[in-house]
Amino acid sequence: KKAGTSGSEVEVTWEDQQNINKFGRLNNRLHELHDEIKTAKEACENFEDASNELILTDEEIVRFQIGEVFAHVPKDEVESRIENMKEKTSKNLEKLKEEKESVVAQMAELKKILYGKFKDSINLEED
Amino acid sequence: MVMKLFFCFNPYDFGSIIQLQQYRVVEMKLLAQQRDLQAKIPDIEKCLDIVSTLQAKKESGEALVTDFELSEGIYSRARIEDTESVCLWLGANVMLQYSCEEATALLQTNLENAKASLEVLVADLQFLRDQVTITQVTTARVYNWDVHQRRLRQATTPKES
Repeated sequence: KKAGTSGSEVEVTWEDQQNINKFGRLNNRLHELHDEIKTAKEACENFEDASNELILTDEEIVRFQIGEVFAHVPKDEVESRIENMKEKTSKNLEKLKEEKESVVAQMAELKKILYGKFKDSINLEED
Repeated sequence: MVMKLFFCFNPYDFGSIIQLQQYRVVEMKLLAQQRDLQAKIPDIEKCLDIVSTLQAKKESGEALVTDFELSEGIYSRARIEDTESVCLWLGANVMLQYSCEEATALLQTNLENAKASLEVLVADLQFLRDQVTITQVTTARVYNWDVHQRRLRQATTPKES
């Protein structure tokens, strides 16, 4: 992702190095966030499907998975549990999306600075 | 973050390439530890969930009926009456019996420790990645410097002959 090319006479200061490091760290975090957001979205969809199934079923007692066992829980309690989990997950998803936006913005800033100083001598694009 | 490692017979670069390989070894180890911790944390949270469900049922006074897995694909029904205590698997073929409150406290402590270790691990990984980046940039700079020097030498020697 980052490669130095030949012929550059530009001095690399410690601040430049720290910017490059920060860019690398942000890039890694971006990939992690990407995966985490995907997982959270899938979880939200699963909760949606689960609550839809719940509305359709006419059983009073639902087998709700807690850990490794399926506990026999009354339908209403299952409904409220799923609601809680859905809310927690969507709040988490919001937080992740916000973090992703902040990371992307910081990376754009750093790109401007680093390209400004090193021009062709540095490559900050994804392979 | 991939650095195209160019072949160089430059003695100055050799040390940093060895260094990079050592960094990679440590990075693999840390990543493996991180994966383990990330798997452990949801497990502990699930256990906490069950213990709190048992406690809730105890207060309401009714028994808890659950289906649990006996073997792959085979489940059995269990009726859990008034729960005095729970048994926690501590690893190394050891299982201890605790009261519900003690179990909750222990699981909570384990969860917090796991989360703290994960944070330390993530910080270590970030530090390591920074070191790798610095080494890569320095390798590139030394290589460029060497190329520059060779060019200068080639520029001066034709003039002498």
